[in-house]
Amino acid sequence: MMANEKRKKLTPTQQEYHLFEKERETKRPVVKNCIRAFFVGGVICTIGQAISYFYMYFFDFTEQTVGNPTVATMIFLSMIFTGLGVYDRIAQFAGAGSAVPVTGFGNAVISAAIEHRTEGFVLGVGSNMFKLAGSVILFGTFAAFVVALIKTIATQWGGL
Amino acid sequence: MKTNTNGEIQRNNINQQTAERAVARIKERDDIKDAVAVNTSEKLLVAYQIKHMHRFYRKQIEKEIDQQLIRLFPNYQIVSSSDLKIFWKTEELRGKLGKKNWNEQKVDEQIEKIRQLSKERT
Repeated sequence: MMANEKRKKLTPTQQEYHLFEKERETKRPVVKNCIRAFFVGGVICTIGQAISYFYMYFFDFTEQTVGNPTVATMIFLSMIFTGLGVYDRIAQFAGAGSAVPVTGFGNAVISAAIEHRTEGFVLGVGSNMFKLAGSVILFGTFAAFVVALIKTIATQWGGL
Repeated sequence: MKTNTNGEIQRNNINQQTAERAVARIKERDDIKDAVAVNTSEKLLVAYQIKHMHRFYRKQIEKEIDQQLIRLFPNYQIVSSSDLKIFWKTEELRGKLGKKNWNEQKVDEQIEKIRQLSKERT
């Protein structure tokens, strides 16, 4: 409905082009992408689980506390692999499967740093490193705040 | 047979009957995969693993087991956990009890260490 209304504003030539484009545009392989993302994301999570078992078995971490060192290790590994140019290839293949886990965060930080390296350390790397990851931090913190607020209200006054 | 300086017979092993009873009671539940326990005359340390799909109700199960243990063993100071690390630690302590001739104080210390580990949050 919305799309049709929008299209009415276009000139006839533009409408014609729209149809032309629709016919020839390569279709996005959504199902295939989903399957790839599912499996690669699953493999990354399995590696994370293995690392957390490693920390629990060899060090004094409990299931409760093992999250921090595991996340740190996963981010560190993905940063190294981004620097070596391996993670980019995985991301090309897996898409969201490699971007959604926490490893995608490391990738976003380091790839931005590499990209802006030529502009110098302060105005290049320093100011651009968190270009992408900054929004992750901002909205992550904000979402956590909102959820905590809702939970506090529900438990304190809602009687949940 | 070892004796103390005053001639009494030294008991090598701490009686683990309470621990065995606790394990048997916990294993009766159908949402528990495995359980292990160690006790001294004052303390009872119980660790268990919740079956995979039942982990969604982890808090509820922990609460129920805690209440059950307090009801069953009112004379003991109870430490219970569903954490895998605590399970491993308890199993390790259990094995050491058989091999090493630890006195009760030493075992109490070990249980206290595990209790502190289970209370850690960050």
